[in-house]
Order: sequence, then C-alpha cells, then structure tokens
Amino acid sequence: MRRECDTTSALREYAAGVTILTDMESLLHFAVNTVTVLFFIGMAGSAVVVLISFVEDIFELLED
Amino acid sequence: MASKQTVSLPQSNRVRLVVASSVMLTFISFWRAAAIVLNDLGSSAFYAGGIAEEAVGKAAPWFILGVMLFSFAVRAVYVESCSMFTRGGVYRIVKEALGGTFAKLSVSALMFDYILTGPISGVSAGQYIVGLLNELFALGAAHHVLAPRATPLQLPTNATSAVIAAIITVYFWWQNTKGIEESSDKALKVMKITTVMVVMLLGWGIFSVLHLGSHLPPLPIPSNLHFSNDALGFLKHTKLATTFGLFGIIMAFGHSVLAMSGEESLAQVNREIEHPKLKNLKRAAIVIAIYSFIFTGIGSLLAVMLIPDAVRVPVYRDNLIAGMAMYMVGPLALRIAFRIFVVIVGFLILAGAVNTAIVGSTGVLMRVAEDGVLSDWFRKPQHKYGTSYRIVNLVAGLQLFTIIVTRGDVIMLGEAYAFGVIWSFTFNSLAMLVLRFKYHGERGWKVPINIRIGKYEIPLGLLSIHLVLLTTALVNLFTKSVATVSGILFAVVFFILFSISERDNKRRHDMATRQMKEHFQLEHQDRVGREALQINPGCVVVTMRDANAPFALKWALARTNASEQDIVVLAARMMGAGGPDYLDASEQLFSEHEQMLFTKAVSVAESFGKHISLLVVPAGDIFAALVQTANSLEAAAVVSGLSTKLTAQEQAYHVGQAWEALPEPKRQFTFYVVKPDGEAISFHIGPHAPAIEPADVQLVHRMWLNFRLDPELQQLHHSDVVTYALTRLATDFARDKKETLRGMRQSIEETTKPKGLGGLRYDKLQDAGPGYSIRAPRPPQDNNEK
Repeated sequence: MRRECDTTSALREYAAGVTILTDMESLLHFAVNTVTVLFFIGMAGSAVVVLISFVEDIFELLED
Repeated sequence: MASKQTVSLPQSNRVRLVVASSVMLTFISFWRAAAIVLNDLGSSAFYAGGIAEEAVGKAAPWFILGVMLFSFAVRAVYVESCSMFTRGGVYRIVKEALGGTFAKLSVSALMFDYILTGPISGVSAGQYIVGLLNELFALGAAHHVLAPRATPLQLPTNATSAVIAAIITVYFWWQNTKGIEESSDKALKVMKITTVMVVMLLGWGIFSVLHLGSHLPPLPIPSNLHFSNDALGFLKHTKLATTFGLFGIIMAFGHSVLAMSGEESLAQVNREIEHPKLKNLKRAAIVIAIYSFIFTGIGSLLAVMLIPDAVRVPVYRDNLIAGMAMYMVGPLALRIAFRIFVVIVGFLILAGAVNTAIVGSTGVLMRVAEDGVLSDWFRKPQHKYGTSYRIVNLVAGLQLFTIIVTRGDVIMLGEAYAFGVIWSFTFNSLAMLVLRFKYHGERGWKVPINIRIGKYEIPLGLLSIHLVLLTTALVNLFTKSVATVSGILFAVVFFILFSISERDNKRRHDMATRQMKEHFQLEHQDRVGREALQINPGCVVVTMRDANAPFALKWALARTNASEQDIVVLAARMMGAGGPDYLDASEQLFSEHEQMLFTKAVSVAESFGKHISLLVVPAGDIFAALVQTANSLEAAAVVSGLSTKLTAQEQAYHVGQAWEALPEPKRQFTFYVVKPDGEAISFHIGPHAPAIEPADVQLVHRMWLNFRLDPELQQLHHSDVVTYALTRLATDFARDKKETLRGMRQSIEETTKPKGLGGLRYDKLQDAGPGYSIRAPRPPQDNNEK
C-alpha cells in the first residue's frame, strides 16, 4: 500500500515535470514567434526609413 | 541661448569666480568628422566578415550587407539625437529620457563596447601581421630563400597577435597619459590611404570575380544557415536548434551586428562639426554610411566569392582582406605586394581604432565623472602632463586584461564585442522613442515616418528601428553565451562602481559646493566677457594648472601694476573627447583639485597684495580656449607656465594657430611663456608692427631723401617708401616665388649675423617684450618671486 503510494506520487511529480517542460517549450516557441514577427515588422519599417533618409541626405550632400 | 546665472550674494571678502558654461571649441569640416568616425567604423571591415562566417556559414556576407544597410537607419537615430543635444550620445540621451539608473546601465554597455574595441582591433592588426609573416616564411622556404628546415618557421598566430595588441595598447596608453594631440589631420590621412586600398581592393576584386566567373554566396535563407556550436549559445540543447526557420535570420543578423560598431563616435564628434552643424552632421553621416557599406559590406561579399572554401575560414578567417589579396587574378609578386599594402593600411586603421577606443572610453568616463557619477579620484590630473591618467590607466588596464584572457582569439572577442554594440544602440533608440513624447525642446530633424493621430504623433520609423535593435539584442542574449555572461558581468560591475561613486560624490560635492560658496563669489555665465568679470580692456590673463607650481602667476603679479591692469587667472576645465558644448551650472561640479587651485591662486595674489579675478572655462582644446578667452576679455597679455610637453616656441606656435582660426573681430596680444626659474620668453600673437633696426630706419631715410630730389615727390613720406618697397616685394613674390624666397633667405642670413651689442632686434624683443602688454615691466622685487 505504502509502495503504491510512493509510485503514484513519483508518477505525479514526473507528469508535473513534463507539463512544466512542455509549457516551457511552448512558451519558448511563443516568444520566438513573437520576436520573429516584431523583427520583420521592424525591418520593413527600417527599410522605409533608410530609403527616405538616404534620398534626403544624398541631396544634402550634393548641395553646394 | 538664455543666460544662466547662479549668483551668490556678494561678500566683500570673497574673490569673484566666473564659471563659463559655453565650452571653448575648435571646429572641423564634415569630411574630417567623417574620417574620425570611419577610423573606428571602417576598421571592423578587417574582422567582421570572418567572425560572421565562422558563426553563420557561407551566407554571412549577405547579413553583413544587411547590417550595413540597417546602419543607415541607426545613423538616422543618432542624427536626430544630435539635433536635440549637441552631444547626443547614449549617456546624455538615456539620462534625459529614462533617468540616471538607465543611463548608468547604458553607459556600462557602451563602455563594454569601447573597451573591447581596443583588444579586437589590436588583435586583428596582429592577426594580419602574423598572417603575412607566416605566409612569407612559407613562401621563403618553398622557394629556398630562407634556410632549409624540416617545416617552415611559423609564428603562433593567436599568441603573437596578443603580444602585438598588448604592445599597441601600451603604446597608446603612454601617448594618452602624456596627452595625445587630437588631430583630425591624422584621421584624414589614414582614411585617404585606406580609400586608395579600398578602391584597389574593389576594382581588382570585381575584375577577378568576373575573370574567374565566381559565384555569389548562398542566399540568406534559413536552409543556407549553418551555425557553429558556439553560435547557438544557450539554445544549443533545445529543440529550437534543429528548427530555426525565420528565427535563424535574426540569429545570423545578431552575429553580424558588430560590423556597425563605431556609430557612437558620430555623437562624440558632432560637437566639433562646423556650422551649419546639422547639415554637416547629415553630410558626415551619409558619407560614413556609404563608405562603410561599400568597404565592409561589398568587401565581405567579394571575400567569399574570391577565397576558396577550403582556406577561407581555416586560414584567412582572421585576416580576410589579406586572403582576398592572395586570391586576386595576377602575378604572385603583385598579389604579395598588395597584401603587404593591405597589412600596412590595416595596421594603421586598426591601431588607430585602439587609440580611438582609449580616447572614446576615457571621454565617456570623463563625461560621467564630470556628472559626479564617477569618483573625483579618477579626475585628478597627472602631475606632469595634466591628463586624467587614472581613467586612462583603468581603460588600458581593462583592455590588457581582455587581451590576456582571450589570448588573441578574435572569435571570442567578436562574440563579446557585439553585446556592447547592440545594447548601447538599443538603449539609445528606446530613449529616443521616449523623448518623442517627453521632450518638447528644439529638435532639428526627426527620423522619418511619423503619422499624426489626433494630437499624438506616432514615430513609426523610430519604433521600427527600436524593434529591430531590441529583438536582435534579446536574441543575442540567448545565442551569444560568452557575450551575455561577460557583458552582464562587466555591466553589473561598472553599474555598481557608478552607483557607489555617485552616492559618495554627492556627499563630497555638497560639501565642496558649500566651501566654494563660502570662499568665492560664484557666478555662472554663458559666455566669457569683461562685463562678467568687471574688468577693463587690456587685462593680463594668467593660466594656472598646478596648485603646486604657480610660477607663471607669481611672475605676472610681480610685473603688473594691478591698479592699471586687471589680472585674470584662467583655469581651463578640459572636456574629454565627446564632451558637451554647453555645461549647465548644475552640471559644473568642482573637484578637490580645482578647489586647491583657486585657493592657491588667491593666497599667492594676497601675498603680493594684489587683486585677481578667477575664471573657469570648459574647453575642448587648451590653446583655443586660451585665445578665445583672451579675445573675449580684450586681453593685452597672456602668461603661461612652460609646458612639460612642449617648448616655449611650440606653445607659441599652437597659440598662434588658434589665433589664426579665430573669427573676426580679433585683437593681438603678447604671449609670455614663463620657465620655472622665472625666465620668460615673449611672442607677439597676431599681426604686429615689426621691430626695425636702426640701420633699416637709416636706409628708409636715405631712400626718402633720394626720392625727394624729384620735384614731383615733394609730398613724399617715409611710410610711402615702406609701402612702395613692400608692394614691389609682393609683386616680385607673385612673379617669381623661388627667386624671391632665395633672396629672402639670403637677407635673413645677413641680418642674423652677429653685429655686436645693440645691433640685434631679437635681443631687444626678448628683453623688453612688446611694451604695451604688461605695462611698466620691472625686475622681481618680491621674495615670492623665484
């Protein structure tokens, strides 16, 4: 009876660990996906900044 | 600019001490500014490609190109910040936006960047030199030029590079301890020679690529990314390591980000850019961005196309440009000659970057020290050279420590380096974003894409740039384990140092300010002027640096009638590289050294029974400060002690150069250099009436008599003879420069031949001085005069 109890609690602990790990993995995936989306949105915006400021500054440079 | 005035109640027993807020600066063109920044930014082209390829594989050049394109956007952030604050560097911006704690954190990250710039540049210079030597040894052995050996002589690459880096660091440590003369000339010369190399490299490289039919590197798509074990960092043991997808692109971008290190130098050099400042800043910034895109970006691309896979990473990873030289199309001798040229240029620019790192980090630490964040102990000037040697020691010590710990491993250095680069940019962009809503002062330019919704303006462009920087910095935290651990450790240590120092300093400065107010009548003025000091024109300005050696002040006091001429003791407060161009009254904290200096000046004046005024000016260049102050005060004479580094003639030359650079109106003065033994040498600064020998006066008179024989020249004056002679001389010079110069040399030889006592004008000049500057010269009579 006592051994059965030990086994059950060990299994419970293992299951809890697996759940935590699974949660961690999914959290990591969520973070990765979020970071990726934000990075590419930022890149798109930055590309426009580069384009506009480059044209503006080139004119500035070529002015007398 | 509104005049800031912090006036303590006048007390009769206190000496007036005027503290200027505007820093005395010299200004440079945007080309020179660009050259200074490129000396730092351009140097990364020598190592960034190799480090990135080691981390992400053969597609690395595309990411370097991407980073260099993105650096155009980062440049825009710096331009906006500099348009708000003349010295819009990370520290100032973050402090303004997010407060002191974040400012200390960001400056810690920036320090990590600056400190590592030295070792990575020094070691990289070593790698290029050792790589060349080993190649020459191997070639020498193969062609039986060198003595036959079982295996050709090969130097241990990393260890020898570390030794070279240490030697370069020690050399520049000593130069900075002595007080290196900041020169945009040197930067410009280095960039000229680098440009010659870049043109040859790209021209010959493109020709070789076309001739060999080389292929472009694999496209920057997830399937072409092959991360090294180290490049996975803490993600090595996760499932992510097998399925990166688009996330891999961010990782690769993060591993290439060190290619744009050096942008902060733009903020540091901004204060020195000439008018119109914003326009010239933008010009400098675009020149820098285009240059580094071509050099670092296209150069890395060509390297992968030219150097075969088998040797590119194993042999030329740490000296990629040298590898390019060896795989160009052409005879071997020519390729080796070009490689030698690459190594020389690489050494010049990389060694220059070591110096920039020391100067830059010293400047940043000086800035935080001036703000009371770093202990006064660091600000104490070196007794002989007057430099902030303790800060220089700290910086050079940390750099040497890094070189020893990494043992010349460029990859390890590069790993760690990116931490400082990306986090200082991230803090800067975040602060700029906050300032868009918080700061309502003058803003010369804004990063584009701003959409107005109601009364709010959404800075989409700035937000986008911040998103890229923040996400890259966060990803780097996980993928760059060496950088994360060492960077966080370094930042935490510096943060604690800053926090403890700041608390201790606040207590000391409160006490010092109270003491200063007790003893001196403190006045803060925007600009220096006679009105502020309540003095008459024709004063004597005396410079003072060392409280223990006030011999110049004693000399001036002994020779000046204080009832006729005012004496102003000038203490220049040297701003480090990247210092501000304006210091608010609240920012000007007096160190113990300065207190001692002023107290000594007053006690020396009291011992002569004479009154003096004290003036403190923040300065970027001591000679410019001296001349600008003398001009503002309409001084007749400037008295300085003999420098420990320069001769009296050299001091006078620098003063003269600074005077020439002054805008009109400007007035002449006499510059006296006093030696510790009391002997003084005088120099006229600015155009002045020459001392004419009696023989010359006789000659003018004889000519006048002869000309007067002509009936039409009865109204002739002596001055007409001189005018005519000078006009003829100018015409001769314009017609035949060489012959006129030869004649002038001959005349000088004849003039300077000893002619007996009383015959030499130079004797007279040196003995009597100009006469009008310090009036009533008389020999020392006071016991204090030594």
